[in-house]
Amino acid sequence: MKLIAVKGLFGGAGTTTITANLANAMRRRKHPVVALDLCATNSLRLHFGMPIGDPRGLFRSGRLVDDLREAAFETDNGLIYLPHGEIDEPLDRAAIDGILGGLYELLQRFESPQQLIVFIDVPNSESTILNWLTSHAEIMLHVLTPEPRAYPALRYFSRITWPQIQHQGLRHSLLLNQCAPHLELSRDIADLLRRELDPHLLVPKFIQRDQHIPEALATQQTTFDFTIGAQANVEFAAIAEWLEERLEVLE
Amino acid sequence: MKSIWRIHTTASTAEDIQRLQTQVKRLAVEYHEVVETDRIQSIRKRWRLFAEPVAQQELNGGAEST
Repeated sequence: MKLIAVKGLFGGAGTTTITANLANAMRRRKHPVVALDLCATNSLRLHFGMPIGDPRGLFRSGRLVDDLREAAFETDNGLIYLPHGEIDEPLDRAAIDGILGGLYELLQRFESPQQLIVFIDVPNSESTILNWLTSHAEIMLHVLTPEPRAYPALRYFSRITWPQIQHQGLRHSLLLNQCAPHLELSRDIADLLRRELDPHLLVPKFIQRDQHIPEALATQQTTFDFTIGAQANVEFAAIAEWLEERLEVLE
Repeated sequence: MKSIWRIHTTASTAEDIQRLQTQVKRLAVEYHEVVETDRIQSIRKRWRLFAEPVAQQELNGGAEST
């Protein structure tokens, strides 16, 4: 089982959208894929058509479900998604470690778990989850957008977060999202970041700002399902191909 | 521990820029690299927030930005 954690450097960087669309792009390349939502905002499911009022998911009443069949849903093309589930109060931090261990065991019960690729929407503020993923994930994608707040966020990330998320076997990459080359400030910051950041850490493809992406969410679909002609589809497919190479899995 | 920053000498003074450009030309680095250096300098001048390279601060031991 290969876990790919998708985490934002700051709120609103687009992690949920990227998790949903990369999972879909990878599924379109015929891999067994699970999209897992660990964010209490419970938004990932909305990209896969789940009604906003549906409370079902992995976490109900502050505990993990006993059987994934209670919480797993399947899209038309066979992608499995695991919504977080609606909760009434934040999960007890002390219990989160046990919950994550239990979740890992449940995922192992999938058919051919060794081939399973799990995309995880990671919350920004929950260090327990981040610590757990540091020792279990294969790839951690850090999403940032080329805007002024990226600069102080990267400085904090470099000094505080980066040393804490080093683990043998875990590879990190930075993914630029919502690039708008037609806007001077966005273009300048993207160029600056490409210049300043280690090129080996940057995902070689980036995602441009594309109005099809919010429109797809508004219609509760992935971008590809919303319209085949979106530029974003090409970019998600290219990143999925890049991930295949990193994970050494063939299409 | 690997740094997240590109490891390179960042030009911060006119002398640095001149020295780097001379090195670049001497090593026959492709033309677009020279243009890129100029472009980064113009970005730093245009936007105050990006005037100082963060990477350089980190590599220097986390000195505070002024």
